[in-house]
Amino acid sequence: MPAGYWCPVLHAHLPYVRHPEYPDFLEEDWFFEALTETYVPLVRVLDGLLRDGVDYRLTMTLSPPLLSMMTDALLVQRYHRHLDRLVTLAEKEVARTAREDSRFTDVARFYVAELNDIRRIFREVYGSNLTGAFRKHRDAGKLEIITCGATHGFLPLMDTVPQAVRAQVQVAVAHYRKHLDGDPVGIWLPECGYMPGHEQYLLEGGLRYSFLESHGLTDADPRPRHGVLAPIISPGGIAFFGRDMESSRQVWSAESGYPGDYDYREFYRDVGWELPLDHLGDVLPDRLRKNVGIKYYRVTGKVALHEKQPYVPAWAREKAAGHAANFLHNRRLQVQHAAAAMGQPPLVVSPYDAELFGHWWFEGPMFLDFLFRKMHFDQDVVKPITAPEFLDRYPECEVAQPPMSTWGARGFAEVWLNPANDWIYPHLDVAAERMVELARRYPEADDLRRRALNQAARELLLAQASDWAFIMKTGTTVEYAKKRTQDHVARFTHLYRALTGEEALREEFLHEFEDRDNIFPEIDYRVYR
Amino acid sequence: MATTRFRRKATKKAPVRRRKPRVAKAKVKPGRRPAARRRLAAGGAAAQSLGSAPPPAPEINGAATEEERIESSKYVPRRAPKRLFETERFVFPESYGVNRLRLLVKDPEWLFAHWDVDSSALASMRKELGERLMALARLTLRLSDAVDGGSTVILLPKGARAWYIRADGAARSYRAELGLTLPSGEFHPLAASNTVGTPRVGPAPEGARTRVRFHRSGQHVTEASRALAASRTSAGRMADTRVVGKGGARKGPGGAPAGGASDTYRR
Repeated sequence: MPAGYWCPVLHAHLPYVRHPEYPDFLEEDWFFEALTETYVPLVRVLDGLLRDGVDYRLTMTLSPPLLSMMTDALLVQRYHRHLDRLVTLAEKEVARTAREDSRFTDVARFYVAELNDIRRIFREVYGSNLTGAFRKHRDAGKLEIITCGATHGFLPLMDTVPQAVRAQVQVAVAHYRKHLDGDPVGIWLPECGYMPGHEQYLLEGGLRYSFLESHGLTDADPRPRHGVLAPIISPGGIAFFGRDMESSRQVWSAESGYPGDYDYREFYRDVGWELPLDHLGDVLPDRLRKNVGIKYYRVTGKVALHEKQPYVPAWAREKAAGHAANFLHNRRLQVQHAAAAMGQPPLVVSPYDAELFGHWWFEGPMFLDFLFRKMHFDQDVVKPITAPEFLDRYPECEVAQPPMSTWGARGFAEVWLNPANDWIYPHLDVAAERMVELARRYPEADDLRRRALNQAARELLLAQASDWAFIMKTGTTVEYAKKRTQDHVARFTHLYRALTGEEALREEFLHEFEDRDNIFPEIDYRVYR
Repeated sequence: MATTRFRRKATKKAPVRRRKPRVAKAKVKPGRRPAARRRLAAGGAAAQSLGSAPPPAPEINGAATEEERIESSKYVPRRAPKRLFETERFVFPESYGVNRLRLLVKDPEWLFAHWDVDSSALASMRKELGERLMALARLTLRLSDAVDGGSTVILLPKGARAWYIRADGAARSYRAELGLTLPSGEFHPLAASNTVGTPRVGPAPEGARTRVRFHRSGQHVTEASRALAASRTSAGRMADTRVVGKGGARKGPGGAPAGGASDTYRR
């Protein structure tokens, strides 16, 4: 029997970005990059583990917006185009580097092989639908897939309209059932945003467990005896698992964590900013520079960008193996030390944003591959496990009330409620109240009104995505986030006015909205009653 | 750059003075479009010429580099896709015409209040009180501890639609009232808020003693709630934790009474 357990959690989420009104759209690249650098490489790792008999365990959120994008015909078609363009560029790069600077030719060849493999896995192995891959690993008993809020709405700030919280959960559960054939048992609260009392909505959705930032457990009342090393059950009836900061810091920390190693690929040196536009060609469809994902330099050290040295994939691979060994060594020490004090096997929970692995930290999927293999083949002190498996083995949990908490900076709601974004909440509040009003006004509706009501629900959900407030705070693509908020509130408001008789209900407008914001085709507006 | 959710180490920052909050944002006048992002240039002149030929490219200085010529093309309005409903014409309302007040919890030390005031309600009040008193009246927030009593009064500047209110860092329940305060001190309420609770910070004084057995069916749910309540009752404690004393105004540094706009975090 192991001395302790490790529960890795990857939260995979992107905001729903789909712009059929344009032939291509910059922010759709978020999805294409994540597919190329994170989701498909992760699937490749899991496939290899399964093939080689490695008894791994992983928990993953597949957020409803992400699942929707993965199964959207337009976005999949655009992803094919994106990949084809990248492969073409990578092949041109082999010739160019051989001609101009042979220091980079090996790396160029590496990208040709890598991108071709990504394309093969996506198209040929999984028929352009990655959800099949995740279902396969779930059905093999290795992968626990949990849900999330319908549009990743930040639930603690929706408390003023309880139906809005309920709807985020209910729509997510229904969406999970549709795409993944089964009922979710766990949920990733968006941003680990927990508010006491929200358990009722989770229980209504059939959910039984979730994850909190570490102080959600350590500051629970009464004080859990084992900190974050054992789950608790709240008086509301949900089992909560707390993030272990020690294992998180080793991976998350930009300064002292693994991703900052000097041999890993440098994120900020990308050919999209450096090579001639004519050479880049279709990869920059509007001839405006952006990251394209082909990068030739390694971190090197604390040096200026122009002093970065060429990336050597073999060195990076060795570092990933070494870091996996180090991570495992630390987990072994951690569980052995804790087990002696606890008198029961400790559980180390390590949640991360999935996109950290591959997109930000290029070698991240490789690290996970090495880690699971070393954990399986090289030792038996710590074993990977999922939350339900742990609860099946050790069902006795302390009862304690977690405080409101998040995994955002400073541990509460500051990231999503500050002068950069607080202006949205009066409008979101009113929209949510109006949606409740509409749902109650129309217990039944004819076809046109029902379509309008369902679309109003979609617009509200899309406006509530916590991504927009997050982006406004972090200052990356602020104008886009503001516009998304404006778009969805504008469309919702028009539909509300039409359904309350202030304006005419124009089917051509409704059709346009349905075409643009087509998430949750099966939604029933009465979830807001 | 794509949205990266790689979280940098949180660093503490000192609070900064911020401008007064605005409720209405992102006003876009018909015919004008935001300049920053080419992808958002879907309104404006191009939208008004839907169906006609795109505008000609601007004259470029012959001495411009290839890069400059290409970059300057972004300032030529793109041919906008055909749309029926132009969201750029939507203006977030300054008011929704109802008296309402909402409280949100930002963290253990700060609440956020936002409100709306029905102009007809103000007109009624003006009729009742007279112009002179209305001119002298101050819009006011009264924040009170929903359990222990005690309140803080915040006199708001004219035109304020939202406010950050300092809480005292303990786990408390709060609610608020919005109203007008006359020079006499008389308070005329306009709206009452929801009740919110600020979170506790730091480990609880007592260790957990109650355990329940988790069941996937959920049959442990009732047991969990009863078990904790029973353990607290037997310990002779109330469920809510109160660290500070009850009643009265908050004390500022040096024990002086605190409250009012000067003591609140404002923008």
